[in-house]
Amino acid sequence: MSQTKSEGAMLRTPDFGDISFSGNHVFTFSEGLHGFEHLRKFILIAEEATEPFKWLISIENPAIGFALINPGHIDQNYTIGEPLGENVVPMVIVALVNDALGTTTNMKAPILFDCSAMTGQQILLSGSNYSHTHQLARQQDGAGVVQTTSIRRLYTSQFGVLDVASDNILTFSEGLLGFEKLREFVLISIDETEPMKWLVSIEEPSIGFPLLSPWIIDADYDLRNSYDPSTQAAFVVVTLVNPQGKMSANMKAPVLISGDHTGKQIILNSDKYSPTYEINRSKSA
Amino acid sequence: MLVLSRKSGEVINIGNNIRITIISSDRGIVRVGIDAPKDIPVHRKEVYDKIIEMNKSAAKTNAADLRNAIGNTFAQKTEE
Repeated sequence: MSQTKSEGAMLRTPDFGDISFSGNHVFTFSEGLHGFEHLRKFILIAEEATEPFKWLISIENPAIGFALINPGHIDQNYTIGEPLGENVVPMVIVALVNDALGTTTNMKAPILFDCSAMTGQQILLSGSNYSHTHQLARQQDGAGVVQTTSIRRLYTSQFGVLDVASDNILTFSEGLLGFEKLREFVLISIDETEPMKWLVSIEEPSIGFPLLSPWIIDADYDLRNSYDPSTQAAFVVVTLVNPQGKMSANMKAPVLISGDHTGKQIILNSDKYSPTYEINRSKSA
Repeated sequence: MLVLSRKSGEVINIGNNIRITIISSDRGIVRVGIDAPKDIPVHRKEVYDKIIEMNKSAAKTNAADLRNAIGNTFAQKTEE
């Protein structure tokens, strides 16, 4: 009984009942999936009723299952931009968004399954034209016009599932310093961390920057020549300096968000402002 | 990397609208004047490095840790 490593095991799932599987059917994701970095072991199952979809079920948390489909079913010319290795199969994640929009697939972040090494990896096709929300089944309204607003569903470990309307997506054409590849963000707030906001990456939802109004920290903060208060909002990025709760704010490089849903991080020339301005002291024990 | 020797007062042009003037050089410290269009940010490299470092350390902030840190920092300053 103690040596059951490669023998059968049982997974108790809320959606599919009990699934028995053997160790050599387990795919290892050394980096998890975007937003689920802590989940490393999955099995891939198929149900007759939902073919050609497959289901990727987490062994560590069997309540988590992703519907997948081979992108070739949707776009015969789908490519990840480089040849696939032997025994490597791409799959994309399917999300049932809502009744109006139907079902979307994340064509931009496919999962590559290596069926000989039994490993999986979710990659991001950064230069491609593929969408995170490719519509599988479009529903049209009475006039035959496809709705233009779409929803992007983000799975985040910190904030749960976020359904982001495309209207709320902020485009940072140059990214943030050190994160130049991330171009799309959403600004959210949660009660427990008010008055801070969170700038969460759409492309990599595990990345979220805490932001704060600079004027909460320094009522005289001066952005005079760099920003237009009638069309822009300004924030500074907050860093947790140590586990004792000391925080600093980057007053030197504020993030500006404009009414047209674009954003950028700028660097102020003034030497007056520090990238590591201390907001508070460590809590005394 | 292109390496050029310049004397004090001499100039290097980059493209049509960026001008680097060597102002002085004294005991290892070179003073440089830079004329560039407003939309081209010019900063010391250390500034970029520091901002990248701060962004990276902020990027994966844990919400629960942040909540604890916020504690009474902003709202309830009356609390002990």
